[in-house]
Amino acid sequence: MTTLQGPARMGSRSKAARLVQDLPTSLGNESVRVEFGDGTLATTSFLDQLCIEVLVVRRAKSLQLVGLDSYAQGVALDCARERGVVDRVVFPPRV
Amino acid sequence: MSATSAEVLDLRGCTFATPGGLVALACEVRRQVEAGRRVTLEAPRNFDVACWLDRMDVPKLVPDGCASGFHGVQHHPRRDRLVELVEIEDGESEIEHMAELVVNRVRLEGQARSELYDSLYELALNVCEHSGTSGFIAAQTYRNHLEVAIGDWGTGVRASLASAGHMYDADADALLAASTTDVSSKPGWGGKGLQSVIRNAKGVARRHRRPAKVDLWSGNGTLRFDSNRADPLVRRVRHHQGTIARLVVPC
Repeated sequence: MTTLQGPARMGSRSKAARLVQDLPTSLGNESVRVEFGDGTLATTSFLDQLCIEVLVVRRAKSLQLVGLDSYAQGVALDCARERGVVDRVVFPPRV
Repeated sequence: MSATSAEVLDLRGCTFATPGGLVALACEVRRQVEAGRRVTLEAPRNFDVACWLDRMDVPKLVPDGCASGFHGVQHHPRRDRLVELVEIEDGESEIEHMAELVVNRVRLEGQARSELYDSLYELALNVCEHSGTSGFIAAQTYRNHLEVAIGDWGTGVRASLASAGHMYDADADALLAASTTDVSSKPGWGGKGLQSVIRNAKGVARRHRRPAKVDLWSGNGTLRFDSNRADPLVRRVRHHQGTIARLVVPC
């Protein structure tokens, strides 16, 4: 499991790509966990690109998004559904 | 608004103003200035409209002495209701800051705050990534709705898509493609921004059980997405060089 700290404000696709740029190009059976702080402001572009980078390009086992509000969770699911990877997006509780 | 010459923007007949018109005006002024013209503004004869434009910083668009007929109103704090003209600065953190400024000023909370931030960010990003110019934003909260407008004086949607090989005969056709499909001037790298803006407006309308509208204007085409209608309303209008988006959502 790789854990990343998400930004306080999401933004562009480039920002999402930079967040995961140090991950291996193929993640095989590994999951990626991204932890966001309370009150993180979400953008569609960022979440869509995060799904692409982690689940489509690097084929991670799952993308775990922690700390997103219901709006951001809905956007992430919509993006993942359109990319055909919705079954690998999960929202675990903060520990 | 009528231009009696290339340099004079005559607003004397203006009897009503909204953030959408304000942003269109600001973009036109800036376009003329960047073309090397000396622009002067004639204030509306209607006192209330002149004061509102003054309050929204319209005279600051032109050099001192180039705005006539304005009354120099006091800027009383109305920061819970107004976002005066703000120029959109290029840069990720600048766009994020601008979007957060607006959602904080209009005091939305919960899901509405998230939706508006997302929409404003995507629209401002479009300005910076696709227009080739800068842009303006302005907003006002009314008794039961919020109006926000973002615009630029750049290449326009049709030309932007054409640069990536997506050719459309009319501006409205290009707007429709950009707002309902994943087509983008950055192949494989976008196409969801305007879709999310429209989805968010419809979401607000559903929750409030009151209508929301998203108006898009680029070149000679406009689209209106109305939460009460299944399909967008397409119109051919007077040319605007660039693109303007206007959101009217219940609050």
